[in-house]
Amino acid sequence: MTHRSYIVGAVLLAIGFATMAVGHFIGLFVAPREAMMGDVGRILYVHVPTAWGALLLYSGAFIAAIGSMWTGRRGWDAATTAMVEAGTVMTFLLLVQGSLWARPTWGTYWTWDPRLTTSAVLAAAFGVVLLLRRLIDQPARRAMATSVATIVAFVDVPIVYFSVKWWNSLHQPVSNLGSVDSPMMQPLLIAAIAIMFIGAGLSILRFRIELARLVAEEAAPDLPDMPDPLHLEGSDKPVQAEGSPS
Amino acid sequence: MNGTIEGGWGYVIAVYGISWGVLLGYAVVLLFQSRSAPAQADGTTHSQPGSTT
Repeated sequence: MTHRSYIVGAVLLAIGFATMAVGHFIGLFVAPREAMMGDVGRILYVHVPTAWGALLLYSGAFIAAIGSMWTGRRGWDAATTAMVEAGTVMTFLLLVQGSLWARPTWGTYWTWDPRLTTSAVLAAAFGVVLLLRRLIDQPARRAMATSVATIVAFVDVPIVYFSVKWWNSLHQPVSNLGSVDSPMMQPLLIAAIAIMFIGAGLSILRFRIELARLVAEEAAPDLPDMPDPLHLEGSDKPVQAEGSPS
Repeated sequence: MNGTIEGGWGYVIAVYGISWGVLLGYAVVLLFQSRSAPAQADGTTHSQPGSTT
C-alpha cells in the first residue's frame, strides 16, 4: 500500500461529497413532495442511501473476514476492521435519521418494529466486533476473533433487508424502481452513488490507518513486565526482626 | 385536509445536518490520521505466538 492510496481515498471522498451535494440539492429543492409525507418525505434521499451504504460496507467486511480467516494476512484483517467501522458509523447515523423521520410520520421516535429492531441489533453486533478488537492483544488471535465475529454479525444483514417483507412492519417497503416514482428516483440514485464513493473513500483511509497500526504493533519490541509494587527489590527476603543477622 | 403531513422542515434540516456533519467529520478525522500513516505492504501475515519473526 503506497501513499497513492491516500490520494485515491481523498479523491473518492471529494467525488462522493460533491455528488451527494447534487443529489441532496435535487432531493430538497427540485423533486416533488411525497404524496403522504409531504416535505418530510425528502429524508428519503439521505436515509435510504445511508442504509444501502452500510449494508454494502458490511458485505465487503464479510468478504474481507473470510479472506482474513483463509490467508491470515493482516491486509484482510485491516480491511475487515476498516469496513466494519465505516459501516457501523453509517448504521448509527441510519438509526438517528430513522428516529427523526419516525417522529413526524409515526408519532414516535422509536418503536420495536422488526426493521428498527433488526437494525439496532446490527449496530450493536458490529459495535461488539470493534469492541472485541480492543480487548484482544495477540494479533493473530484478534484477527481470527474479528473475522468470526464479523461473519456472525453479518447474519443480521439479510434479516434487516427482508424484515419488511417477512413481518408486518410500520416501516415502508424496500425502496426500488417499483416502489419509488421516477422523479424521486433520480436524486435517490445520485445520492446512493455518492454514498458508495464516500464509503469506499472512508474504507481506504481507515484501512491505511489500521494497517500502519498493525505493522507498528508487530515491529515494536515487547514491553518489559511492570514490577509488582508489592515485590520491589529486596522484598523477596524473608521477614526479619530489626537487628537480626541477615 | 388530504392526509399529507404539513411542515416538518425542521426534521428534514436536522437529518441532513447531522448526516453531513457526521460523514464530513469522520472523513476529516480519517484524512488527518491516515496522512501520517507510513506506506505499508499488506501481504504480511500476522506473527503467531512464540514465533521468532
